[in-house]
Amino acid sequence: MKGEQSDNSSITQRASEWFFTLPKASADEQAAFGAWLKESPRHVEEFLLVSAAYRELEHASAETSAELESLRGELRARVVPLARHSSSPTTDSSKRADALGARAKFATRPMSRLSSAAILLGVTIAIGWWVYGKFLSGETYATATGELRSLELKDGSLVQLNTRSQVKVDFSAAARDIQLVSGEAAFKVAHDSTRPFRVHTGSAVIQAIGTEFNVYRRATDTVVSVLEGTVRVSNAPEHNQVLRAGQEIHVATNGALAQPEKSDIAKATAWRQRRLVFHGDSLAEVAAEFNRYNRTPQIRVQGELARSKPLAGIFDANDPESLVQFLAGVDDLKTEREADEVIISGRER
Amino acid sequence: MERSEQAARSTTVEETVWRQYARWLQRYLTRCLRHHDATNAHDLAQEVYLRLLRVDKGEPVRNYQAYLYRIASHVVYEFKLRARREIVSFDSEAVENWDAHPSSTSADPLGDHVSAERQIERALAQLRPLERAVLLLHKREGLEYSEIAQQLGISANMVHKHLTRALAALRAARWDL
Repeated sequence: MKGEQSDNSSITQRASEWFFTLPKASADEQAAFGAWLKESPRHVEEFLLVSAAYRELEHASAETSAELESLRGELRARVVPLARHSSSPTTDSSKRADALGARAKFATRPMSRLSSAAILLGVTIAIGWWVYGKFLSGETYATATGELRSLELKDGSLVQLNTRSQVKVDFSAAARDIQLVSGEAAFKVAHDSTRPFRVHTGSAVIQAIGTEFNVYRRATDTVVSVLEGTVRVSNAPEHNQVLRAGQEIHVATNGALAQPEKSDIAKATAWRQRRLVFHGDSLAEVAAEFNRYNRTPQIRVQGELARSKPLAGIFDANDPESLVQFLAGVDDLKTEREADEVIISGRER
Repeated sequence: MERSEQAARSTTVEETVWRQYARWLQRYLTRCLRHHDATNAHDLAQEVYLRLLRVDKGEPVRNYQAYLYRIASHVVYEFKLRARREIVSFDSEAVENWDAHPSSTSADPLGDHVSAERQIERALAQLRPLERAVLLLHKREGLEYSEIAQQLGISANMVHKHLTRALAALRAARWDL
């Protein structure tokens, strides 16, 4: 038993070592790696798992970068005494300071080296920054194509940002205001009866107290779906609609509010698991959703026959290839590749 | 001459294939393992292994890593296809899971997502600080051995050792398999 366990961990070690050796491996080493793989399916499995673990590091949240910074500081503190024994201590440590970021370097630079012009420029920027900040206070968070990001706000509320989205967070003593500048976000609001939690989308304000809801700001309209609790959607103080859990409402770009309707919550929130859910949506809409998450390949659907073709299913949002492969198997559709594009069109029979 | 040209071309194809499929493969494995579906992961490895033995009888392989990933992604694709045929209309494998436990997967999606990230972070937190730093500098910042060595005041050899140990420990902390 014990022998098997230590055996397993040594296979993991070996797989990991291969993983880092391979990028610069000689032909002999390549052959040795091949021979090692062929020794046992356990070797193959372990190498695949080690590869998966390495790639998975991409999904660790942004906080890790902050942690990395502090870690590097910690390590520097630990390695500096050792470095003193090296032959050229000054160059060594200054090089390290360089690598550790400009901020520390800037602080140690003598003031005299800043020319008065630079000071003036700095003051101007500072005033400009202050004025700018007065009008546009708060922190902005944005996501790139395909990125999903979770934030924990100061009050404990959770925000999850979907692909290509941007929010501006502005908390004051009286209110918690969030501007959904673009895209889509889900909110899980921490209870605080003294400070309303409001999401502004340009055409409407969504106000909630201790609840969970999703807001999708599209080019054509904004969709608000409530998962839990109650929210009030308004386009003016006197015009509002109260939404309960399981309901959604469409707000036109001019602020017109439709009647609340029953929401498909699973569909509205599927994006948080990077899933896309379709119930008979047209292929044109399906392609548009995939293109929202992936820069490449872009999927273009040509011709009315193909564009209006209804589709049902649950897809992995980051895996457009699975859609393309699926469509390739549909009898009356044709798929072609052109550079970074996949073109789907109807096929005559 | 023609043959060497052909060989050169096939390596670049392998590299693209590798880059293209590694992400797919990783996602498949992660999903199997997240749902404690060890059988699928074992089946995958077994099938890949058999094909590796079978195909290798022809030309010598120049880049085993790319080759392995390519075989693995083909196997993943076939597994997916098989699962898909069984349920007729298209559904990613997620469907089966949703059908089986609709409440457990959709009860708290925001919490679920946060917890997946947390799991990776927890696994990272179990590493020794130096190993964690070396691994993150290599992966997140894409630094060369020499650059990592300089930043942390250790030798390039030690960087390799720490990387190896860190990744092995991370993999062990992630999946009990």
